[in-house]
Amino acid sequence: MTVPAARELVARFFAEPPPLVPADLGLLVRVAGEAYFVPASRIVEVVPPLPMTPLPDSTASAIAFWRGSAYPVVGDADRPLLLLLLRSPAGQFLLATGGPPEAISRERLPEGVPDFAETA
Amino acid sequence: MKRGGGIDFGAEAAERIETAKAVLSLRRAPRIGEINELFRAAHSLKGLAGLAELDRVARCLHEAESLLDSLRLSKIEWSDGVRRALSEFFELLDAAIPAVAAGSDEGFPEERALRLISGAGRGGAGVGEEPLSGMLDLPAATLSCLSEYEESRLRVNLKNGAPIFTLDVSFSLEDFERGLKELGERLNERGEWIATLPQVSGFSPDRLAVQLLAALPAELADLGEEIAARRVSREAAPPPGPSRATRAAAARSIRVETSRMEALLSSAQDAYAAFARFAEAAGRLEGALSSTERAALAPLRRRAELTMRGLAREAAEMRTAPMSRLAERLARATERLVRTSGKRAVFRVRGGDVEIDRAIAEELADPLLHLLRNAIDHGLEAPEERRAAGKPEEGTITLMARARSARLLVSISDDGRGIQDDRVLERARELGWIAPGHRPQPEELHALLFRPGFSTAAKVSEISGRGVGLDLVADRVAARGGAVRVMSEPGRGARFELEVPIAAAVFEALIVSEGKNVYAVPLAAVRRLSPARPGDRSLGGAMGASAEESPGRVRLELGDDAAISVERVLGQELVTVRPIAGVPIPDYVMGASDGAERGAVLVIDPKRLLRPRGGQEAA
Repeated sequence: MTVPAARELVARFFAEPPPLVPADLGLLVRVAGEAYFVPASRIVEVVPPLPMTPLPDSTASAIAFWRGSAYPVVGDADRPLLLLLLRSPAGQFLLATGGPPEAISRERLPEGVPDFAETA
Repeated sequence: MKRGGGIDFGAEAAERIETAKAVLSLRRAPRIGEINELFRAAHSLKGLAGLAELDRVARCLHEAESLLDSLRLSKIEWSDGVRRALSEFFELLDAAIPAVAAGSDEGFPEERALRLISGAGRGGAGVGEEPLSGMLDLPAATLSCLSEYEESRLRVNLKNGAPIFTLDVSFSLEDFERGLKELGERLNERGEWIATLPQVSGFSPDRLAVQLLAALPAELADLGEEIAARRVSREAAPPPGPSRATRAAAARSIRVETSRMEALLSSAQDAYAAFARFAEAAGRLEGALSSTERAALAPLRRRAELTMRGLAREAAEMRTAPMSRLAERLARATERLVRTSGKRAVFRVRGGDVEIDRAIAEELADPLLHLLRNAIDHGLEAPEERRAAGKPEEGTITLMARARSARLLVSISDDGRGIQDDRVLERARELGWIAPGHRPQPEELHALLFRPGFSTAAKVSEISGRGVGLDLVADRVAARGGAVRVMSEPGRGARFELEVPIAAAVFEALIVSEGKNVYAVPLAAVRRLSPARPGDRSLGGAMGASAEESPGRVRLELGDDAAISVERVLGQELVTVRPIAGVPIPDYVMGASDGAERGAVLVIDPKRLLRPRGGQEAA
């Protein structure tokens, strides 16, 4: 609703915003057998396996506690290999991935791999 | 008394004076943030007085504002004399409110008030004017960017011997606002965040870099490796330590920052939860002890449990208050505002029994008051206009509160004319925010109401000088991780809904199990327990899990003939419920409690669980 401070700052000090180039780094992960790209800017922390309480019929498949806060777990909560704490517009959540992640830049991403979207 | 656009000076002024008196009652020199609070109070009061045509009061407040401006810019130093003068000045103002509110400020002791302020203004010298370039290793171009206020804060900190650092930081574009705010809070905890300067280098495609200027203790280890800190102030002699008298005064102080109180209350509740788990584990081990050892241990355990439970309960009670307390305050304000507006309205409250965090209530008070004023000033029509529109002459303003999952929703609605989209559009076009010919959707248009600069410029003749605009309402709510929504229907009214996350809730709950999973059900939701009956829905089944019919299930009777069965009832506990955000979760999940080795214990609202579902997930 308010102009984000970043945009204000850019508008204040630059005639044009700094150029954006498609060199984002991130992780290529597997969730439910599908490959997804997770931009590094979304990753808050890599989290070790945690006890999880399943939550059927929901976008979040489980709930877990990490550092005193409760987080919804999205993805392969029943057999997670790795948990990533990710940012979302509504807060933070844990993404349970079912395979080893691969660090990759968006430029080198195999064709057709979408960004991970928690509401999909 | 109504003057200049429906302003009730008495009601408005009382709040600002209360704020000022709270700062002046501190038994220590106020910090810069508190002097800024005083300054804002005087500034708002001056605006109000001007608007209400109270010229004597406005003149005195102008002088008080100048004095406070000099204090915040460190042109003069804080002293007991300044405190006494300001305290007496605000007392004079407070005492004069009833007479002033009755219609005139002729009886206001203007001369005495001005003498107080001018006497205080002759206080000690400020922090000097020697060039900063001699004290700081910073380019002249950088120093020339600083505002007068920032310069004064640098001088004060340098005078006190505080090292000044530049901190080069960068944040991703999407996280810039939050990241910068969080870092600022950390800096202010340790020292003072003085200025934010543009960075000409350090940009990457998705990151924005800035340089911060801060006064900090020399140890910076905890700020994190990603922050490049450089000391720019020359070495100086350490500042003199506080005097014994100052230390004694500080020790007597009972004023505690809200954030610290919140942290203490959270710790108390966590301590109880940890103890409960410890006691449970210890109970399992007691079988290995002799009967004498068990007998010796039992009273110690009972006493510890009672103490911890009492601590957690006290913390919970300190932390929350029913919404009705805040509602009473708002009802009084509404009554005063309506009385002076020439309109007629009744104030209704729904959800007054909803328990809300005191800190949240405090944060929401000002935004809600602002929305109330808007509803009365701009939403409700005059009685004759309402009559002509076929409405009752008396309008209705409703404050509604409800807890949804781990979020609190509070709304102010009125049955007035609704938001006048044409006027908003016209003003937005004047400001150049909407291109000529573009007709925005109502949501887009209503979002403009919350942009800085909209309300002040558009309503200069009506509400300027109040110090809080809709942009600040949105900012205050956003600072709590919440959001503001607007709904409006032409001729039918408008509703402003504030949604904020609840930090934590504490209540007694039944701990139940379904298969391998453990859940908590608020005790207040359960009327009685009985053996399960055929046809009872199981908790697991209602949640969508495969339900197993096992013998000995327990029926939780919920009232209104509703009931749900669980496999076992494990006991009763005082649970600390944390909110769950990040992705939508079903609205019957109120939050989760940390069950340590048994994982997250989902806290279930059983009645909501039994409702027919469909699109029930709450973000």
